[in-house]
This record gives sequence, C-alpha cells and structure tokens, in this order.
Amino acid sequence: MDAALTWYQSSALASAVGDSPTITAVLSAFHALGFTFIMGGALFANLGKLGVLFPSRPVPEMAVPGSRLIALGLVLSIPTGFLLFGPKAVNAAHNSTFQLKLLLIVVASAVQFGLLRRGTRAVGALGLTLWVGLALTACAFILLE
Amino acid sequence: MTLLQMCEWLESTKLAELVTQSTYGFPIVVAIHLMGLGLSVGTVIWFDLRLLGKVLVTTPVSEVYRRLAPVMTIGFVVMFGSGAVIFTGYAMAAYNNPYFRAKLALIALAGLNAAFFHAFTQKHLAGWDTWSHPPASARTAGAISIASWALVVLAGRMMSYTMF
Repeated sequence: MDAALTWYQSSALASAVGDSPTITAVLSAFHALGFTFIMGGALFANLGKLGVLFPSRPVPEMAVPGSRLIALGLVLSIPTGFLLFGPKAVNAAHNSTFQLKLLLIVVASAVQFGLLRRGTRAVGALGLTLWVGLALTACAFILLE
Repeated sequence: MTLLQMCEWLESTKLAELVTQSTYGFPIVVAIHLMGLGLSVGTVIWFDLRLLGKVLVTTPVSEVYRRLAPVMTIGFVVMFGSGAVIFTGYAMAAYNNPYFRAKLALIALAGLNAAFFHAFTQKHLAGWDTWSHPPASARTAGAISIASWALVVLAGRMMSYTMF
C-alpha cells in the first residue's frame, strides 16, 4: 500500500498539482462545490425521509432528487479529491481523520443509495448523521492536518 | 474613514486577534462557515429547482418556500455571521483579493435577484403557484440563483488559496 502511495505522490500528475497553486485552488473550488451539493442533497433527502420538510409528500419525491444531487456532488468531489490527495498521499493516508472521512463516504453512500428508499424513518436519521459527520470530518481534515 | 482604513481597524480588534492568534479559533469559525454554506446554499437550491419545474412539481411554490425558509434562514445567518468573523481577521488581504471582490459581487447579484423575485415576480404568485412549470420570470430567477451561488462557492474557495 505504501509503495503505491509513494508512487502516486511522486508521479508527474501529483507533482503538477502540488507545484501549481492555481491548479490546487481550482480543484479545491470544485471540491467545495461538490461538498455543497452533497450537503444539499443529504438535507433534502434525509429530512424528507424523516417527514420534517414535506410530511404530506411521498418520500421518493425528495429521496430521488436528493440522491441525484448527492451523486452529482460525489462526481465533482471524488476526482478532485483524488487529485488534491496526490501531493500529500503518504501522510494523508496515515492520518486518522482522513481515514474516517473515507470510511464515512463509503458508509453514508451505502445507506443513501442502498437503504433510504426502502428503510424506515430511522434510516433518514442515520443518513443525515453520517453526511453531517462526513462534513465535519472533512472540515477537521482540511483545517487541522 | 475609507474602506481600507476600516479594514485596518477591523484587523486591530480583539475579535480579529482571536481569529488569527488562537490555535483553534480560525479552524472552528471556518468549519462553522462551511456548515452554514451547506445549510443555506444546499437548501436554497431546492427552491430554485422548484421554480425551474424540476422537483416537487405538484407542491405549490408558496408551500415549498414556506417549508424551506426556516432552514435557509438559519443557514444564511450562520454563513454570513461566521464569514464576517473570518473577515475581521484578514480584512486587508481580503480587500485586495480579486476573488473576494468577485464573491461579494456575486452575493450582491444573488441578493438582488432574490429581492427582485420577492418584489415583482412573487406579486403574481397566486396565478401560477400550483403550476408544475412556473412562468419564465420565475424560472429565470431560479437559474440566476443557482448559477450565482455556485460561483460564490467557487470564488470563495479560490479566495482562500490566493489570499494567504
């Protein structure tokens, strides 16, 4: 694993990102836009599931578009995040906050796309908690690394 | 007092010192700012998508607004409040940053768009409240809002990488 991380960190791609503040800034900007879409989708889908936002409407009216916005957010955030990860791959991969962030992305996505449409209101509460936890972990990683 | 002098004064306040000097002051306020961003822009987008006729098309526009407004309001208060606190610590650098100026201009555009919608387009809401596809003026307001807030997010992040 460490060999792969070292290879990626020393690759031309990671160097291009790390050596260019402009590329890093642009990637980070689209990463943040993805974060906003994920948060917006998570709030809409999961508060809808909980019956907080539109209690009289069927859950799929919120869960489906909410999940689509989360998917768009992930499409923006994951590739940009992978590129931003390059210049600091070895250190980041050993950072426990970063590891928690990756774990939360996987678990929150599994709950959102696998369970939300079928599960009870408790799934909405779980989904919302996981996405908010991910957002807080992401903030912690950016600011305290 | 010029704007630049005001920025200088802001940076000399106790609040600015707290933001820039304390170990966790800046990270905590930035985290609050990002959460406020998710709550505000992440919610306003759903009202914009309703105006565009893309979601909740059988729910009246007025009801969508009424249900989302409390979350949006809390989000915007948190985002603008924490943004103002961050600004006090780095007012001079922000004043000279082109992305900060672009961000302010885009926030003003989003604000004017919302004000125009509430003052004029919404006046005739009773006539199209239940339409699945609202009139062009409402759809335009929704599109401008989504575009301007997305650009605010992009400019905000560009700013933080070019200011320090």
